[in-house]
Amino acid sequence: MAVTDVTPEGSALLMPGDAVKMDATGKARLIGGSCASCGTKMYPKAPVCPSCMSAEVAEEVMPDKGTLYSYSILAVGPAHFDKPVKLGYVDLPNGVRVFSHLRGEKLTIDKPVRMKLATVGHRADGVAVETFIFEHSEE
Amino acid sequence: MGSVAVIGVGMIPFGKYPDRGLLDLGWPAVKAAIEDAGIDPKRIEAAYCGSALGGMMAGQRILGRIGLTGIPVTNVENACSSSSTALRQAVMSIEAGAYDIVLVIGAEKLSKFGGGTLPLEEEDWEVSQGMVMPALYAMRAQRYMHDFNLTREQLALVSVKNRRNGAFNSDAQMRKPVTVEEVLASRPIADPFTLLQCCPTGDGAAAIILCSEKVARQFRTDPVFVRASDLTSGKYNPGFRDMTIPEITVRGAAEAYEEAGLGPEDINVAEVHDAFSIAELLYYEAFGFCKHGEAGDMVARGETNIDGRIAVNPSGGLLAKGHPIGATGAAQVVEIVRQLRGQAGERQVPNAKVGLTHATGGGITGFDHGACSIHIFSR
Repeated sequence: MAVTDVTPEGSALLMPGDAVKMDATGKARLIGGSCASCGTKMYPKAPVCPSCMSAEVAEEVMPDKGTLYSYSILAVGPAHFDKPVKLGYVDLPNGVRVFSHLRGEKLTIDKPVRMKLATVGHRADGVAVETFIFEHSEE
Repeated sequence: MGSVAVIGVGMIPFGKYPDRGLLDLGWPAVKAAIEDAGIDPKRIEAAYCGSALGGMMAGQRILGRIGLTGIPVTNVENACSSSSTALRQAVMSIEAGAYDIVLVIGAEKLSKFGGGTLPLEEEDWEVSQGMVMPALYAMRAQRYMHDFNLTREQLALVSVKNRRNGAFNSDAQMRKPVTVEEVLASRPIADPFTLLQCCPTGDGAAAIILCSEKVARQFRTDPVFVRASDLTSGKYNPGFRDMTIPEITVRGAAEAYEEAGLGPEDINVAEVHDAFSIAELLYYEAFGFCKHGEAGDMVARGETNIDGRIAVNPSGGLLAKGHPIGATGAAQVVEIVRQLRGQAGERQVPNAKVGLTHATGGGITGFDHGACSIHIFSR
């Protein structure tokens, strides 16, 4: 899959530059890692394998759909996140669990969710803060 | 095992002390422990000081206030397990024969950060995305409620119990009992947690004087012996870890029980890490006080009350006593030692012979928690 770097216009992307990329269809995809030595997969990609210390961690495109493992809705947190902050863990079908902002009025554990980029708050200077989120899909 | 004794304990009441710096929180706790031991302070040969956010050389700054420097002072940071880890270092130093008499301090001044959640490391991926400690524990609670039909009322019962206990503890930050209704109606923080289900921010200090068994009875007729001193760190798991099972505490508990040659049925009183209401319930299970999924029923039946089958957090725990991070581990020991000596007054657990302390700190991506330190004590 051909990828190009995300170039957000007028927003601060709240993630390392290579942790999300656009695929050939222009869809944002999370780029995690996969260790060639022990098979551990993780998001985001680590420079060394946190399981076996191998340097052979390759980029791997993460599935963009998963299952909501748990969540919480917070009234507290850094000022640059809009309140309430909806946070959760999403289990991806490749075995990786991802900590993510969430969208949607009703959040249900064990129901499917899918990923996209969204604005989750604003910095003190008014610049929008953007990152990946998961939300329940219509299927 | 059994070769290290506690001969002195002391602490200051936990709370907000806007006009007192770390030094002036710490030295009164040390002085109280020295007086409790009835020891000439010059006999203290080394000190270990636990503080998570107290800044460089917290131990020397505190001890310098009362003329106790010139000895080896080691400062220990292990998040919420800081002073428990300092205790373990002290225990090991005595067991190794390096010293006979050692001081342990725990001290923290969280009020210097204003209110709000603990400042975690921004470098950490999840922290940069918004992870805060209430969120982490809240997700554990949501999953547990989903898996085991735990109710909000059962969560609130943990706060009710610990606030009731704290009302009997002149060292507790929160001294007023609360009802289930008041707990559930308090300000929402991180669903399902309301304010009264979160430990309060505050300041505090506690101190412990330890000695080798062979000199213990020079000081007290009722030394309390260390039966286990355990420390472990979390294991990395980027996949589907079960958030209703605190794996680091499960491992630490097994190690501590093995070191002591004891099991959950032998524990009369426990001070565990109830940073949030769900935490205490998870730890009942991790320590084997009940089976997985049964903790809600256990607290609802009163089994962990002061007069229950196993008294948990008779001091009021972190929820009522407070949680000045670096001081918590040492303060848990102060409570257990008082319980085992029969000095706990209205909080006294009947026939307390074996006690346990547990402090665990988290906030790292991919881990249950980072550190967990457990101690077991007996008369």
